[in-house]
Amino acid sequence: MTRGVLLFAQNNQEVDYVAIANLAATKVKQYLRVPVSVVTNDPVADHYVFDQVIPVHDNTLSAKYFYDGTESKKLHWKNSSRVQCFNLSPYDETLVIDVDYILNSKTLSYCWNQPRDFLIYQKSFDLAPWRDAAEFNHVSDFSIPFYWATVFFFRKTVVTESFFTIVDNIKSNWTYYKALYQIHSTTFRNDLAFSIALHMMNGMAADSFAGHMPGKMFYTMGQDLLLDMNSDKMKFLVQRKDNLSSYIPLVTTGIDVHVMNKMSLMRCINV
Amino acid sequence: MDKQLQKAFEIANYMETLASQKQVLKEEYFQNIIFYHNGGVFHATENRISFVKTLVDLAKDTRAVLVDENNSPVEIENIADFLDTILSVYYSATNEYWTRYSQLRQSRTVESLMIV
Repeated sequence: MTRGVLLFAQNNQEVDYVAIANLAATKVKQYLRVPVSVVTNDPVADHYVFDQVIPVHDNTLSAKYFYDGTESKKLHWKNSSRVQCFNLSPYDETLVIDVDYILNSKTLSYCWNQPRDFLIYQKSFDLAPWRDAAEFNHVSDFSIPFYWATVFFFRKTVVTESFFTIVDNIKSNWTYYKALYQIHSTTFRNDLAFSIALHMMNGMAADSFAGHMPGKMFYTMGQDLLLDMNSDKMKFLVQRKDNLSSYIPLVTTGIDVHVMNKMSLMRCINV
Repeated sequence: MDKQLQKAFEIANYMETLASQKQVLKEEYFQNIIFYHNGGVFHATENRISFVKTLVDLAKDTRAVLVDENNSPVEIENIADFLDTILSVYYSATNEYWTRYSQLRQSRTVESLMIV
């Protein structure tokens, strides 16, 4: 039974996802001690970090706003190849992690030694807890629970293959599913497609198909700034309540954090 | 701005940062009490410890089945060893929480809060 981590890295005009994937791979090796493969169509300079570099042809070209504190830019965003991860993964047991999910603990090593074939985060914690997190609780006001596609684990089985087939179908018929589940987001989002597919795999009822990742997924939004990373500590400036252009400093120790501000992440790794 | 008002704003700023950092510490503590046993995920909470201690004291068998945080039944081969593990996780997590919380309380400026 082979096991490993799969990362997706598709550069755009300004964000060097491959460089961030390098950091993510180094952290995975430090804390989880398993091989890491990267799926990309961009050149990879430091091959030695990766077990395999898996080429992919992603011709979708959507755009979204990338925030860097109070500033934002609309940039290209290629993130649709993730739905193919079942076929792309070279491992029997795969942990898929967003490159901007920075590991500082061994928490995810739980995945390898537990009986569930699919694990995903539902609970999360915003480091600016005053912010309205309703969009991360349910996919819309009167709809189904929200799950994070940021980190998930799967074993290659007939059932999990069916799950990814459904996700792919949702992606292909996004306009229909968006209307059906009353989703306002215009762009295709993996989180939402995964949430819908999980709902379908659960027989449109309470969850039983997916297990929960341990604890909560900690995250900061693009409007927050990552200042520094040192060992297992991360220093942030998170947006202050009622004054979005001022910040509160915060330190995290020994917890994994999803850093949505890619620009500040790149500054911290000197890209 | 007069000095007294400026000082008041600085203290308000400090209090806000302190409150946010305390909340992060609390969440880190909840993350640190998680542990894994025989494919199950457990939280080393006071409730869990009390129940396991009851099993150790009252049960005739060293083996027991517990329902984990994912609501899956998990076989525990030796419940006394499990109690040792859960207590060890609890002590480690609460001691770290206490140490860092104490450091926070002694930090009197926003800058010093960032060092904790």
